[in-house]
Amino acid sequence: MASFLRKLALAVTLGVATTATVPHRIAGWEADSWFEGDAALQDKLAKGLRETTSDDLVERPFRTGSAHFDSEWLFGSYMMAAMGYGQMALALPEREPELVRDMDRCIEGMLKEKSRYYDTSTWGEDPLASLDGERGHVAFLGYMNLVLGLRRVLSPKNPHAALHDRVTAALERRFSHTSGFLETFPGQTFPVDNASAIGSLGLHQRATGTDHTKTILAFRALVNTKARQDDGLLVQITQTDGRHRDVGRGSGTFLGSYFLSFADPELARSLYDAGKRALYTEHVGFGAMREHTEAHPGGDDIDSGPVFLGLGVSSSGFAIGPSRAFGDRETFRGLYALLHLFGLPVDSSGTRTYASGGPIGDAIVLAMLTARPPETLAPPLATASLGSGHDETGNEGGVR
Amino acid sequence: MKKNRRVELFTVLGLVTLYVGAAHVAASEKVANALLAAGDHVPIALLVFMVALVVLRVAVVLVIPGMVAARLGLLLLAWYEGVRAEKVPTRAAPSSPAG
Repeated sequence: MASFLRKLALAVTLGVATTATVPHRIAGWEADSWFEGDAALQDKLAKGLRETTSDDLVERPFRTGSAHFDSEWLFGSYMMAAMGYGQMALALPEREPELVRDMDRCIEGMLKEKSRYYDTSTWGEDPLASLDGERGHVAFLGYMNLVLGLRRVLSPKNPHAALHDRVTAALERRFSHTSGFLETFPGQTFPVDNASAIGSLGLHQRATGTDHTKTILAFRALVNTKARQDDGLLVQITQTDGRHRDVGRGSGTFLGSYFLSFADPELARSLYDAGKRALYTEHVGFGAMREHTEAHPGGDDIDSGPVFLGLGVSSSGFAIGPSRAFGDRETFRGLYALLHLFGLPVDSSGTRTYASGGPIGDAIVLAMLTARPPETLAPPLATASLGSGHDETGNEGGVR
Repeated sequence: MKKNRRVELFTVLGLVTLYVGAAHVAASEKVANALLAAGDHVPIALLVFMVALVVLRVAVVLVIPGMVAARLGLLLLAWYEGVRAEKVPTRAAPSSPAG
């Protein structure tokens, strides 16, 4: 009996010690390479996505059960893939021509009628045909314009420059005509979608020199006074005047932080820090973000993705981008290990695909894993500090 | 090699091979795309395949390393006890007074 207990104790000790120290290192062994911007790794994922954005999205459309979400996911796949290609092109200037071609293919995809359907059908008017109007359309225009902005940073004179100017002017005018947020859909206002539009203004300023500082700073004040809950998370749904219709959530906070990194690094950093403080958790080396805090619980929906034991798929995935952008290597490692465990990566014929995510998963992963440090893209804003004591964590900055 | 150790070894190798093979099938057949494209009518076989793939992945990355470490530890202990058992009787054996 004593011999059996001794063997059991040894087996349990070794098993637990190994599980606590080895698996996250296996799953996260490429994390540092991604963090440093390893071109070969980026290329593998980009190649797989090239195939997908060329044919598959048309041949195998999404069927979520809702024509609205089918269209939104199609648009989102092209949009995130384009962001990934654009960020790669900035990091790898020698590869710019081919990556810009990839971006242009995705922009064409975003402009397809099928991709616009979710916005057109909800508003009853086409978002691009109604640029002279005052209605929000920010779920289409903000995201679209972010991609057009990145394209413009890469080449100021490109075939989409005129459209970029028109969409930017429409968004700026709509922001200037309200003291609140722009509507995503009629009667529905998502601050994170507004953040995409503000991010696009930052890129327009960077690319063309047109000053959008006033709008960007007004948005910062609006978010900080109206759309953040007590722990600093970005409220997911509000009314246009900022009154809360939902609680602060990880998916919106981290995606908003990523978008705002193109316009207002200070607000973006503040959102990321608040989100990490409130939501980050690590078990045996695998990091994850909760979707809700305990003090502000809520359910899951299409934006949160699946939520297991409170841990959000979207929240954890979207946090990878700002963790890289703000140089938070430790958190990036933890989140990457989780992505690598459950994403089911498969390398084949020089390409990589995440088998559990489908095209939209690969597109989001490429955009997040190649997110750029804000100082390389966001325009300088003459502004007072938020006073939130950034860089308390000693995170790494610098260009990657 | 004892039979049960051979079974353990081949089980581990089999699980790893099964995972790698299944993951490649999932990627080349674009199973996730098919799952997302299936809407409300997801074929049960497809769903079972994806769940099995995730379970295999967790087993290969999260569970097997700990089990292998525990098994190797026990083998090491058995070897050490064997060596000790061989030495103890030699030391303890009384010498013959007759020389």
